[in-house]
Amino acid sequence: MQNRKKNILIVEDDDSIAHMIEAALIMGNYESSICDNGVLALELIQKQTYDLVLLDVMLPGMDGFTIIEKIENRDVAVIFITAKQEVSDRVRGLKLGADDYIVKPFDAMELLARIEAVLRRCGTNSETEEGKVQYGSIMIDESRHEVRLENKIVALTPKEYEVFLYFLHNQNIVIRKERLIAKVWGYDYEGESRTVDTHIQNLRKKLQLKDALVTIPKIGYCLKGELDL
Amino acid sequence: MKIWQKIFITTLIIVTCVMIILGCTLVNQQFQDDLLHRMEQGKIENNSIWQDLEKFMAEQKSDILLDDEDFLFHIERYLDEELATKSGILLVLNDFQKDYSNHYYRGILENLNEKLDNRKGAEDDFCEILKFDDRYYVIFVSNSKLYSRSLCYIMEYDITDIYEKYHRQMMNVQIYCAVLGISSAVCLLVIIKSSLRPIRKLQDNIHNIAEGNYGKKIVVKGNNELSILAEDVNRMSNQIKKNMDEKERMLESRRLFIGDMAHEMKTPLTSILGFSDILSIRRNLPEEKRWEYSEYIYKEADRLKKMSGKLMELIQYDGKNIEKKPIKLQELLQEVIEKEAYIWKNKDINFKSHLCDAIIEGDADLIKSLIINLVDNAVKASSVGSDVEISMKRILENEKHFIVVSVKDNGIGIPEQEIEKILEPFYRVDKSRSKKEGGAGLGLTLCMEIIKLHNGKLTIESEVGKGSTFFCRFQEVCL
Repeated sequence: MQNRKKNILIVEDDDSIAHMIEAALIMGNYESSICDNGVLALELIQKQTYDLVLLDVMLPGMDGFTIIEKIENRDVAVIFITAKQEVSDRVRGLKLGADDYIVKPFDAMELLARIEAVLRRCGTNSETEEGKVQYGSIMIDESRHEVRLENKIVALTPKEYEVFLYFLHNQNIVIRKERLIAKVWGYDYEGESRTVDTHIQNLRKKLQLKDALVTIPKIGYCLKGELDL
Repeated sequence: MKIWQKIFITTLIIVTCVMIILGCTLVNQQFQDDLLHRMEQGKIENNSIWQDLEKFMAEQKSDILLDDEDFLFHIERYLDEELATKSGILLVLNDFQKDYSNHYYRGILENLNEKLDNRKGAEDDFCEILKFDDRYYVIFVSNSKLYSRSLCYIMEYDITDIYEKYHRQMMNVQIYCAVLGISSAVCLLVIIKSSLRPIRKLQDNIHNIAEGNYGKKIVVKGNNELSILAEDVNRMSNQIKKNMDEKERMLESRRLFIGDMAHEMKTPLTSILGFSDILSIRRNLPEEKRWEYSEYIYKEADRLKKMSGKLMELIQYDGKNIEKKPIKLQELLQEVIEKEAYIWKNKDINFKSHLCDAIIEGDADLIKSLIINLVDNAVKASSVGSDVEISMKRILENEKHFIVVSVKDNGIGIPEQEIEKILEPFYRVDKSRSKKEGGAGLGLTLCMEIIKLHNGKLTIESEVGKGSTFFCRFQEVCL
C-alpha cells in the first residue's frame, strides 16, 4: 500500500504560480519539479519518468499546443493550464491529446481534484487497488465498502462512507463545505448545507471521531492526520 | 407647393403680364399716332373740300352771288356731281333753313341726339370721334360764310380702319404673349427640371447616409451649384464614415484593452488564490512555509495594486483636455534628477544631464510623470552603476521651433521587431525581468497618452546590448 509518490512535472514560466502549484502538490503528497520552458520540459520527460505534466500553454516564445503533441508521443498524462476561457482553445488542447485542462485562476483543491481524476483514469492511481486503509482503530476495506471500528462492522450510509473516505484521503487538510458537497453530492446539489453538518455529526458518533474530525470555524472540517492523533 | 412649380407659375405669370403690358402699350402708342395722323388727313380733306367748293362756286356765273335760288341750286349740284369724296358731307344753310348732303352722309350727329343746333353758329371749329353702326368717324363741324351766306359745314370722316388695325394688333399681342409666355415657361420648366434632376440623386444618397450606408459616392457632372453640393455631400459622407470607423476602432481597442487587462490580472490572482487557499486549509504548515506562502501573496497583491494604479492613471488621461500653462523644462528635469532620484538609488545610477533653457506648454505634473516613467524604464533596463543621460535639444523644422527631450540608457536594449509593440498596453519584451522589477507593462502606454495630450511626438532608438534612447518632441513656446 505504500506506493511511491507520484512525480509531476510543472512547466510554468511565472515564478509565483509555479511555486504555488508546487505547494499544492506537496499538500497532495506528490513529488514535483519546476521547469520554465518547453524545450527543457521535453528533455526532462525523455530523461526521467513523470506520471503527469502540468503545462502552461502560454509560455513565451513557443506554442504550448505543439508541446502537447510532442509530449503525447511519450505517453505521459498531460493537464494543460490556460488563462483563456474560449472553448476553442480548450477543445483544441483536448483534441491534441491532453487529458484535462484547468483555467487560471484556480485554487489548490481544484488542481488536486483534477490531478487525482486524471491519474485515476490513467490507471496509475494505486488507491483504487483493493487496499485496506487503516486509520487509528478504524479499518476500511475499499473493495467491499466495509468499515470496521475495533473490528466490528459499522453501518454507514453510502454518503457517510464517501464523506469519510474523502476526509481519509485528505488528512490534515481543511475541507470547505462547498467542496465536500461538490465531491460527494455533486455540483448541482441544492439541498441544505445542514446535510453536511448532520453527516459529520453521524460520523463522529459512529466512528468515535469527536477529537479527530474537527470543525475549523469559518472554514470547514478537518480530519487530523493519523500521526497526530 | 414644390419649388419647380412655384418657379414655373411665377415665370408664366410675370412674363405673360409683362409682355401683355408691353405689347398693349406699343399697340396703344401706335393707335394714338395713327389717330393723330388720320385726324390730320381728315382736316386736310376737310379744308380741301371747302376750298374745292369755293373754287366751284367761283367758277359759276356771278349772279349766284345775288340770287339765293341759284346759290342753292349750285350748292346741290356741287354736292351731287362735283364732290369726289367718300366722306359724308352736310351743308346747313342757316339763313334758309335748308340742309344739303351727299349720299355718303349718314346723319350721325342727329342720330346720336347730339344737338346739332349747338353746333350751328358756334365760332370754333369742332371735331369729335363718334361711333356709328360699328364704324368710327371723325365729325368735323365748322361754321363759315360763303358769299355772305352763313353755312355750317359738317364732314363725317371714316376712320374705322385704324380701329380695325388697333383691334387686330391687340388680338395679335395677346396671342403672341400667351404663346410666348407659355413656351418660355415650358422652356424654363424643362431647364429647371433637368437641372434639378441631380437633386433626386442627392436625395437618395443622403437618405442612404441617414440609414447608415456611407459608402456610395454621388457623381454630378458639370460645374454648377449642385455638383459642388454633391462633392460636399460626398466629403461629408466620407468624414462620417471616417468618424464611424475611428469610433469603431476606438471601441475595438478599448474592448481589446479590457480583455488584456482581465487577462493580465489572472496571473497574480492565480498565485494569490492558490497560496491563500493552501494557507487556510493546511493544518500543519511549517513556519517557514507559512512565511514563504504569505510573502508570495503579498508580492502578487502589490503587483495588482501597481497595475490598478497605472490603470487609473490611464483612464484619467482618456479624452482629457489639459490646461496649457508654460512649463520651464530645465527646472522640471533638474527636479526629477535631484529630488526624485532617490527611488532609483538601489541601482546606483549615474545621472548625466545636458539641459538648456526652454519653455513648453502643458501640464507640469503630467510631464513630470512622463519623464519619471521614461527614466524608470531606463533605470530598469540598466545594470547597477551605469549611466542614464537626460538631454534637451532645440531643433528647427518647417520654420517651427521644437524641443526634444531624450532619455538614454546603456542597458539591454530592445529588439527591432519589438519596438513598435512596446507602446501597447501590457506588452513586455521580457516578462520575467519586468516582473522582477515590478512592471505592469503600462508605463509606455501612459507615456504615449501624455505625449499625445501635449501634441508631441515620441521616437525610439535602440540596439540590443547597447542601450535605448527615447526622444520626446514638443513645440517650443516663446514668451
